[in-house]
Amino acid sequence: MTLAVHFDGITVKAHRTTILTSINLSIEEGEHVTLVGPSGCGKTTLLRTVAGLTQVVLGRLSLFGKLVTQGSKCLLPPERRQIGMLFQQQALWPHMNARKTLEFVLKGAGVSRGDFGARVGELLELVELTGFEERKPASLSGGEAQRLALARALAGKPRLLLLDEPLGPLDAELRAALLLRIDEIQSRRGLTIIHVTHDPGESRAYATRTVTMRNCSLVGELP
Amino acid sequence: MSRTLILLAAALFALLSLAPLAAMALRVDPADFQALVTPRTLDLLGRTVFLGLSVSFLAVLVGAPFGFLVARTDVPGASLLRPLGLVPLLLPPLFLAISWTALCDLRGATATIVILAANTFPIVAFFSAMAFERIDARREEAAILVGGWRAALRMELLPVAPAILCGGCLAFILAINDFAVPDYISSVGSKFNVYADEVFASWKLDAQTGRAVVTALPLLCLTLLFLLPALALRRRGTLATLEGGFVPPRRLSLGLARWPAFLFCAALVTGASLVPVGRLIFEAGGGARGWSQENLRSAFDRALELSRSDLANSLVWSALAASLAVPIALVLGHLAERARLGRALEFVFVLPLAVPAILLGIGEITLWNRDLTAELYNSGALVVLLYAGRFLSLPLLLLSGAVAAMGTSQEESAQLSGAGPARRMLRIVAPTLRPSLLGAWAMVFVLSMRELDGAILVPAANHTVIFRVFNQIHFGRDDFVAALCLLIIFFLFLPGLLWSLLAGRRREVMP
Repeated sequence: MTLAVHFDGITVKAHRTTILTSINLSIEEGEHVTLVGPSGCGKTTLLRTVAGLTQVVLGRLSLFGKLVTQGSKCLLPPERRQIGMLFQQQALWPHMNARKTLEFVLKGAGVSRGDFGARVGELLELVELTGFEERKPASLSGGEAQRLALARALAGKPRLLLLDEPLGPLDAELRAALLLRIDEIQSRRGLTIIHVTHDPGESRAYATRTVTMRNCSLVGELP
Repeated sequence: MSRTLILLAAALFALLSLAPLAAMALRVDPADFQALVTPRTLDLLGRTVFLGLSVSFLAVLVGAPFGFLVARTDVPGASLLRPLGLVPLLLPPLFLAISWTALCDLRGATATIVILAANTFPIVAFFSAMAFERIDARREEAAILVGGWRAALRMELLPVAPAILCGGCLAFILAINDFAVPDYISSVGSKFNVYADEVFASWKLDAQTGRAVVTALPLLCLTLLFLLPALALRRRGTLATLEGGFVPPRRLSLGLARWPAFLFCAALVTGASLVPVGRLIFEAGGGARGWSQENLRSAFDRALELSRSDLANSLVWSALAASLAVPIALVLGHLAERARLGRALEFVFVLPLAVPAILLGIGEITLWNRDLTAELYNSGALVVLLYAGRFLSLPLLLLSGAVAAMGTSQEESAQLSGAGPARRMLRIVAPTLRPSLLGAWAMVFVLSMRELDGAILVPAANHTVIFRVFNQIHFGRDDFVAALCLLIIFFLFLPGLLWSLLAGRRREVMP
């Protein structure tokens, strides 16, 4: 099977403080890897490194067999890595309604304008937000906003989905429903998922592997 | 960020703000330095420092409590007093000087200090209000549980003090660089010459650019001395990004003290803006000769008839300068906030603010007064370039503050969605910062409309409405001047009014 993500000695520093120390990790295509560890251990930084949003000091990072980061050089910018990401605070664009949000991503992905309507409908249906086309983020509940963020993350047909503790603000019932939805989408699309959480039990049922981090390093895998 | 956009914005910034300074620097001769340290210049410098310190002290003394009262307490009419508190900043300080010297026997150093403090206290008040509003209610409640409101205020002083001091520094800078108020005060009573006068005189009398540049150096150093701490304090004071879970603090109940507090705020607003405007209305309607509506109408008719083209010039040139400055400021403000060396770049970007306005005017003349550019030199285009270059730093700082308050995740999510740098700027950053962009536009427009110090030497700027006021005050045509001042005030308030209607109340509107 092809490697989706391959970390080779990745080290990240900020203001002389080491945030990630020599990370070596391989994730195969189609895997759902959960990354757990205490707050401040570097989980989010690791995710941001994959996305190309954090500058690396040392090491190499490959995505789907292609070298994207070598030392401090970013060889492939974030917008061309075919990555979808769910942020902790959703990071929805407050001035755009659901339809415009998705159209913005579809345009970036090269989808022709004529197909926008059908694609937006599909995506909203996928996350059970049909009828929410004209709603802006401020008028959405926490669960609805997170589902719109999921639709946005999937709109560009990514091969890799990064989840940065996206379920934190939701109640247990909504969390379970959203995880189930993500799992269904993964099975259907063959997505690779890296899911950062501080709660090891959260996505245990869906994860193929659970990797633990401590003090800026990977320390092993949970059985 | 798109390299093309950055290069274009940086080139325009260099042309508008740095090129005039470079053109002047090239004219400096070593012999010019002989005039730098003389008993006269040292005396003027000492007087200018005294003026700046007194103005900033007064501005902090009244501005900080005003900001706190209208932002965090239940003082009656807070929602009205707060915008009214900004009015003195919109009024050209020259108008305050005209009104207050006519109203009472205020002259000399005291008059200059009081008038410039009345003009600049809104900066301190605004910064304080913003800082007090950005304290999370939970932090405040934790302090209240420990030791009541006294403990809460003690805790709040730490994050708020930098904002207040930053406002004080900016008041100092505006005071020491003001040319029109000391000039006017000196014309109606005992002389109170300051250093800005000396820079003007050394160029006007000798027409020696090099000497004017050298003369301005101490003023430049003095401004930098206060500007750099102001920048650092601004970051610590008011630029904290509001976290997702931010809980706004509740208003403090003043009990019976709310009425004395109201009187304090109302007196400040009345003295600094309503009285001067009232005095202008009185003067325009005939003043001591007998006020009547008919006189008022005829004064306005005359003012419009004689100054229509000057007024139109001011409006068009100010609007063009604002429209030119804001896009450049957005790109460079974003760069200053997001780039790795952004903090260092910020110091370059604020350099035009440190240069006395008169010196920038001389720089524009030095740069553009050539055969090749004669047409531009004699046209309004030069005034637009001067205004945009002079005030570019302010929207730049405002917008970099707004970018800081916006956080990074919205842009990052757009980037991961496949949007390139230009598209992110156009579709995500600019619309999100719409209130700040409108505020920045209004700021440059207002400052350009009232700009006199830098424009006084540029020939094309002689056809602006503020220059006409400056000219006419010496000819005793009080009703005409007052009507003209009121017309300018109307147009100064217009963008502010539009902005408050269009922008809505957003916490990230201004740094």
